[in-house]
Amino acid sequence: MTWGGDTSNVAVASAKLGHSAGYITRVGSDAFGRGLIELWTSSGVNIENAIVDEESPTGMYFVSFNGEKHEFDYRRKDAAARKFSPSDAARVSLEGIKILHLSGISQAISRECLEAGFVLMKRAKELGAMVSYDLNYRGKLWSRDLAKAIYLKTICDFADIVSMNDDEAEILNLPENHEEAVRKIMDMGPKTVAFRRGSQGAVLGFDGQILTGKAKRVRVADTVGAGDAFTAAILCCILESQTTDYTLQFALTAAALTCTATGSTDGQPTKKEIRDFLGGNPVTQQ
Amino acid sequence: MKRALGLGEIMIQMNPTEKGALRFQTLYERHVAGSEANTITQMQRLGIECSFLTAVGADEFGKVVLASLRSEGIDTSGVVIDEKNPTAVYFVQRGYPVPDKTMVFYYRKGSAASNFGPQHLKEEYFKGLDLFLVSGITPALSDSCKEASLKAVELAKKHSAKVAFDTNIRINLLKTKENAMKTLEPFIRKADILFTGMGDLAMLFESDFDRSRESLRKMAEQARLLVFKKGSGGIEAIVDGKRYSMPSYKVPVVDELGAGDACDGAFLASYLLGKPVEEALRYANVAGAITVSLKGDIEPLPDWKAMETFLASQEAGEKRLLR
Repeated sequence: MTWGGDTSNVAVASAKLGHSAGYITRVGSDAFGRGLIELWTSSGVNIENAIVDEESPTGMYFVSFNGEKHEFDYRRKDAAARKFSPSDAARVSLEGIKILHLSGISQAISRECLEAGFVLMKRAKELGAMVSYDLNYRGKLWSRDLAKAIYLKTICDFADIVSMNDDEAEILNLPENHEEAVRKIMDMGPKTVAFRRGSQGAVLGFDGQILTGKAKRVRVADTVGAGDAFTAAILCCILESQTTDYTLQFALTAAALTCTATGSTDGQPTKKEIRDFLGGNPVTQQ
Repeated sequence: MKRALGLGEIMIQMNPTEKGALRFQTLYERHVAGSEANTITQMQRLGIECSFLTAVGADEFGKVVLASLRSEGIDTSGVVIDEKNPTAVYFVQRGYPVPDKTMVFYYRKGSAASNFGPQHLKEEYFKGLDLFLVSGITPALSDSCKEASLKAVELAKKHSAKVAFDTNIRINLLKTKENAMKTLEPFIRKADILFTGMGDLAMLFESDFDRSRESLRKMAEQARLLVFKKGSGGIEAIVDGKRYSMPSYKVPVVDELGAGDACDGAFLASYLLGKPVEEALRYANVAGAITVSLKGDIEPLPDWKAMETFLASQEAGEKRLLR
């Protein structure tokens, strides 16, 4: 058993990469809620905005592997996280934040959460913070049409940084050429676009440039959480004002190293481990 | 051959490989359990021809539950596969914070089984039946489960099957003592064979055992047989007004879950096969003792041979390998 959740993985990865991170959610007052709180505290993620819900259980999921791909059996119908409301969002302390990260899953789990997400994004923007948005489509949570509408609104109105994959690019009817797809999103407003393509590598739109990189070769134990580590690495590089090339290589390495351990956070690397891995590859750093 | 039918929820039990607080556990054994299904499985292993009524999700765990029943030879033709709602799951915490005690945490709200209803009952299930079994858990799951349980009791009576009921109070489902009484009373009044435990009696009536036993006897107006399970304090029965009691066996406790269900099953099988009350109580005790000494509710349930082996070792009065 491990603890995970896409946005939580990003928060934990960011903390491991040396930045200060916090997490906004509701968890159940059960053993699993306690487990999540301990995951965050032990990783250095601030929990002042993690509300313990006395009424609802913590959501969970079971993964089975059918030989080709992972199948997820979600148990989140009554989950505490789904009860996170716009009034919770209005009370959250956002002081000093530079980036607010949320995903399509954060929006899709409930109507309350969707609205709470918009409240948080509005507040973050007013404070001059950036909004990072991972589309992270889950077919069990919402339809492709609804997801598309929310994606477009969020990207156009709020997002500064967008993460997506091939399936989500298809939902948005983006051009088949990956660089053109990234350009199209950048034309909608976001300055940074991470197009994650798993073992195919990634395309990064960053600082006005668009670069393509191959995936780093590692012995894969479990790919779950690799995309979240990739996004966290991008966020950290933005905070450090790194170059486009360094950012892409850094993020590809963060994703690859995350795949070397099972679970979505155990394999997440530190900055030093990424640099050690990249040791042989000459990369420029500002 | 005697025939029995059970109704209830069957869940996936996640039982950690180690003792201690659940949040620190990373490795789990997966078991299958549900009070009525445990009892029915015990009866099937003792030679009763059993069938079971429940609903499972159209998920991996639903397949596990069905496989568990089928591997025992239990008839599953009345099991509903629910496309919308999941198979329930629960987690076990062993030895923390009370040493040797087990705690359970259920994730069963809105499960497939809690959506089982009277519309899923077919009268043919009750034809030629000797015994119908349900416990206080099932009517506590939902209104539809309560209606299904009541209707099943009526159908059993109509076809002259005995109704066995275990009070099995789950206070996290029933919420209050008042609601527990309101939900369980109709079943207590209609049961032919009634099982209960000390905690349940105290919850329904009062903490004084002798007085609450009498209150239960008055309420259980149709019960010819009442069985009181007192855990390590043994087992007691009242049959046609006559009292029988027997101390429990001393065994190392690994996981006390399912012991009460094993008792019910061994007692009911013995009863259906015409064994005297003293023997039925002895076998109930043996089945309970074997079940507490191993993990999982279903795996440890003994057959006749296993119970005779246990009894032989007890009578030998020494701890030695049986060769």
